[in-house]
Amino acid sequence: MIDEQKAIALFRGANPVPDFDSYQAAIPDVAAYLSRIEQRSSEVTDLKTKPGDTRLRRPAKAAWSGLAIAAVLGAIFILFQATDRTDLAAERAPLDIASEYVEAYREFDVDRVESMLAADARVLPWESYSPRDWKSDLRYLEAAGFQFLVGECSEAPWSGAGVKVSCDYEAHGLGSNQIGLEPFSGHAFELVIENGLVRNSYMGFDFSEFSGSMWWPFQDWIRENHPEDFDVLYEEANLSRQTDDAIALWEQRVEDYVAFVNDQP
Amino acid sequence: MSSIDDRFRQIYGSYFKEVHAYCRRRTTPDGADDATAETFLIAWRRIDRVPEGPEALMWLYRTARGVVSNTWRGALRQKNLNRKLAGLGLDPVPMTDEVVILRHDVDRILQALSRLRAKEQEVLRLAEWEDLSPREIAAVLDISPEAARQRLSRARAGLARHYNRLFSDAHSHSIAQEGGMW
Repeated sequence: MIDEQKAIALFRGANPVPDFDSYQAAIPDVAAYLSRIEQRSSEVTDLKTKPGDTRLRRPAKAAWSGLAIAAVLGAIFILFQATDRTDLAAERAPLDIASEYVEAYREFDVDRVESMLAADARVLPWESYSPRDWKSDLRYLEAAGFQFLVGECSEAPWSGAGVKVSCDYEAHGLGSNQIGLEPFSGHAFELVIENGLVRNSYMGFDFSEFSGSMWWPFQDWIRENHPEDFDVLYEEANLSRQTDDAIALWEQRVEDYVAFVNDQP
Repeated sequence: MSSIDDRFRQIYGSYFKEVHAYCRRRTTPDGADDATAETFLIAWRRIDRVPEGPEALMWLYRTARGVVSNTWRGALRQKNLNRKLAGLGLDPVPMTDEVVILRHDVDRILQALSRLRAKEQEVLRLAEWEDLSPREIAAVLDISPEAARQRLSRARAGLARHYNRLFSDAHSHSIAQEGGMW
């Protein structure tokens, strides 16, 4: 047995860069670096101005009347105001946006997820094809010990507006990693990206393996050991409840369940 | 030369080594080069969002964190990741007894680390590997300092707990003997 202090000492010993002062990182020349990224940036985008440079270029042979110029500039200003949070996103590839979105989901980062959603986005959380409060769903997933191991994102056939992207992932849940199980595979986020934002988000989850290994055993354990908690934790047998009280209890009971399973001979 | 370039040069010159070390602690040497380049590319593109002063480093860490996470994609079966991370601690050349024992402990503590939640793993790395304070960790993770302190406390306790759960039986053997089997 080791105590916390010893564990931290071991962890410090596992630092791949233990001596920062003598760490030799080859620092590329900044001028060459700037040149490369400017070149790369111009290949990726067709921007005529650098990021952060808000000057607008007028057409060389503008023939607008004063009123028309004012109207156009006003419209541009409004557009810039309205799309401030999307200006960088809109120039990015849908696959990159999808990857970042799934990453935010993986980190249960509600604010980041929200910043990437279109105003009228449709978000279907896991467990259900019917819309629930995705923020509560995210908080529930974190509390219930879910971890997502995200794989590749790829474009998928789609006839509607925008680009459909599918991102495979594996998952742990209800403490499955802490009791030594392999991650559950075969899941995929399905997203529709439009104008740099996520318009549709569906968190597909294949319950076939997870149910038998984690969902029902955990629920059986709750029924047996904490029957009074059942109605707090579940709306119905195959649907979690996601109130504040329920989320706090999910975190506690998952920890208890992990301890119970790990204490079994 | 524009003020954007000046600002970028200042950030680049001040923090390249820190960012590269951050990436190196979480990925392979080649991966660290790529992740560092990507992080500074994002910094250049979003230079107007990079805060002034020491907070710039926290912003870079936060950005690098996202970049490194992306590089993990495609190889993120937990077992494979653990194996890769376990191999990061030392160069594989010297095989003295001391190093063998150390590698063994590195492997074990990183296995215990992998049992923590991802957020707890990162808060431990930031505290113990980057030597960040709870206030700085809070800036990187975009949480409150109090939440950072609580998460760190939970992570430290969890690391020892998981280590003991994983290896308490094995401790009847001497570490040196086990290490000698490598």
